[in-house]
Amino acid sequence: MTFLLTNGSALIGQGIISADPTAEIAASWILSALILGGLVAHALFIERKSR
Amino acid sequence: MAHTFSRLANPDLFLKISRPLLPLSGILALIFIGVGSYMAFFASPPDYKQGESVRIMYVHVPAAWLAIQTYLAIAIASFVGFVWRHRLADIAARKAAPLGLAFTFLALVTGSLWGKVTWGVYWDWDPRLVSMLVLLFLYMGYMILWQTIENEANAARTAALLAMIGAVNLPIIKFSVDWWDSLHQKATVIREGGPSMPASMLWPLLLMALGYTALSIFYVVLRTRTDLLNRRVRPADEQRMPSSATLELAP
Repeated sequence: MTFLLTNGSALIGQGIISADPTAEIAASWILSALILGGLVAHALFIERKSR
Repeated sequence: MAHTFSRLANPDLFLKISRPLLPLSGILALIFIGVGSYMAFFASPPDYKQGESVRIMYVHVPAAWLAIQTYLAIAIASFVGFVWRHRLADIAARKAAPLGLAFTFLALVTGSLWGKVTWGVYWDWDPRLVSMLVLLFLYMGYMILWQTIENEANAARTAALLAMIGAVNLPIIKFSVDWWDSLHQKATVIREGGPSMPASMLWPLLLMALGYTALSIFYVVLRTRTDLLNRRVRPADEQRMPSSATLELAP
């Protein structure tokens, strides 16, 4: 396990890890917004429906 | 203490408090998450080692914190419901579970994406990762118990037992990186000697965490309030909500 941590930059150099993390950053933020936004929207929908 | 819980468990008092609390928490969530997101992308530097991938931290870490805090809140509410039979505590705990599950799922998935960039793998059988996976299963089990046991009072007691026993996993999550060799980095914010990260990274992280906390309050209060109001408009014999300290669950 220590190998992976200490050799991260070496793995990037070998092309094993992507040096451009744009896709991972975008996926993390979009997924967070969708799931949390979806939960709140669902709660608001239930509240409106029960009126 | 029992008296305090009795007072707080009064449904009428909850409905009264929740009315101003809902817009307040909703607006605070929007402000904190909005400003926190802006700062995370435009006012914080890339990490000297991890580069731009550190921007995943601003959604990953608050999600992990809230996953743990929500479970802790559920365990405490379950204890109150189990010991003092305050049904409002059981209802609030039940309504908080989907949110906790979502935060745990997000912490695992965003952590996996971050791990791919920095460690080279999506998953490793690391103590921190495994204990978070156990938390995900605890949330799922808790929700399944509520769904599958028909008698609501029995479901509340059984689910409360699971929530209280499962709370033993919380210190394991927190200290897993200290107790065992871990691929996951050690605590950088909640640690002895204070945070080890620069203010330019700490502020957006704290703002996002505050935003997620406000969002959680908004969600749980809204769901609990809706549930209470639905119970009020049930047929004649159940229509009047008890104004005493406890709220009986429907059989």
